[in-house]
Amino acid sequence: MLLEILLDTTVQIERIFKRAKREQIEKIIEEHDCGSSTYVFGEYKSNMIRDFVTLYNIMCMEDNLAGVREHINDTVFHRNFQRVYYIYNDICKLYNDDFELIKENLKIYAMHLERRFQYGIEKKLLNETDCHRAKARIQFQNGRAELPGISCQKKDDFCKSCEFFERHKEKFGSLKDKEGLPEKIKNAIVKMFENHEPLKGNICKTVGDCMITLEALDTTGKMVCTTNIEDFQPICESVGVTICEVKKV
Amino acid sequence: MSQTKEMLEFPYIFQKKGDTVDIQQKNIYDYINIQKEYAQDNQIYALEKRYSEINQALGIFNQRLTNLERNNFWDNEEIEVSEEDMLQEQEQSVLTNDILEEVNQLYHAEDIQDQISCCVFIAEKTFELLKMIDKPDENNYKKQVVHLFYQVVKRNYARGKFTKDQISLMTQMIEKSRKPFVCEEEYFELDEKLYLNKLEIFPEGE
Repeated sequence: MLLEILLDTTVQIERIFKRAKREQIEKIIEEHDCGSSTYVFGEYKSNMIRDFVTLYNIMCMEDNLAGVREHINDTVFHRNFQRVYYIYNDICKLYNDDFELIKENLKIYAMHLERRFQYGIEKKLLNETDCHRAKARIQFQNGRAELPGISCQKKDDFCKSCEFFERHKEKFGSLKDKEGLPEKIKNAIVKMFENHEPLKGNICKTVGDCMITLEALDTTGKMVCTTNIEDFQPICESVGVTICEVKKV
Repeated sequence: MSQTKEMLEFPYIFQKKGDTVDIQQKNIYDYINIQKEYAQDNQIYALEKRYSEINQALGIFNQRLTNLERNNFWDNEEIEVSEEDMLQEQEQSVLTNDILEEVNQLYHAEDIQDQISCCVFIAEKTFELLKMIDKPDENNYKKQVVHLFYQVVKRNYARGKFTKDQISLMTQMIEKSRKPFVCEEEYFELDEKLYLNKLEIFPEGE
């Protein structure tokens, strides 16, 4: 199961929602042995899929579209709220604002996103971290949608992220003072080295781009495909991974 | 109940040594009586058994009748709704046929404008169909297939002329929606085919 290029979370999202980039991404997938990782899948689930599970649950709470719209904000969806709002409005338009049909469609939306992650990719996922979030599956119980297992905290011990840290400790160390790396990421790395905090929970989420880049060391091309060039550039430089850039066609 | 009563062996009764003719006649008489009694007992037992079975069945029937009455089975409105359901099913079938016929017309569309004209009809009828079909059951993806088809039409009608494979897939979807039950795997097989045939179901991002 040798991958040539690792697809990151941004690429996996944009090959669904950005038509202009999709063609280019699909071309890369066709021409190279591309794949992803359980860490990327976990991140994808805790962002995209969780958002649409929440949106469906809001629809279960409300009985009109305006009520749902009121609750799509950055408190609930954080930095993804614009995307959720946009997609929600698009679905409303598609179904001529028919509440019940929109709700029926949204019920299955997250399941579609879950499946789409793997379409076109034959390779199995890299599994160095054994990411617990990747195992979360959507369930419908008691009139609501759930994604059990999606949350991940420092105290939880159900993945191999600590072993991952030990294996790549030197590379993580080299990122501590890397120019161009966001302070938030640097602080998280410092916490692991100086305070001996484990690579779990929020720290694991904060250093997500580093994790993905380090996973890419296991690919034959030592390449990561991302649309988030700005954030990945300094990490890739430091670690020795090449970015496979997605350009608009 | 004398079902345990055993029949005496006939030759043994008659052929006891030293018995007079009278005694033999009496034995024969006793034997006949015993036989009669035995037969009667058996018949009575069979009748009693049957009676008990009928009683039991009657009890079950009465219980079911009570349940049905409790659920307003005999309510006229309910009967009317049931007829309405049948009518609705017929209407759904007519709509599905109309959609299918128009999807087949897509093969003959000369250009994209022709295609759009077909799609107006298809989208309108599919929306009507979606409004008509009952809420989907938990594990039945039948209605979701119609949703998926509707999205395919709405999101792709103006992106370019449909290929033969794409039209064939759309036909498959409508045919699939006729089935009384569509499981999750069948549904997502169609979804993957849409992906492979480059038919969009997601909106263009913001």
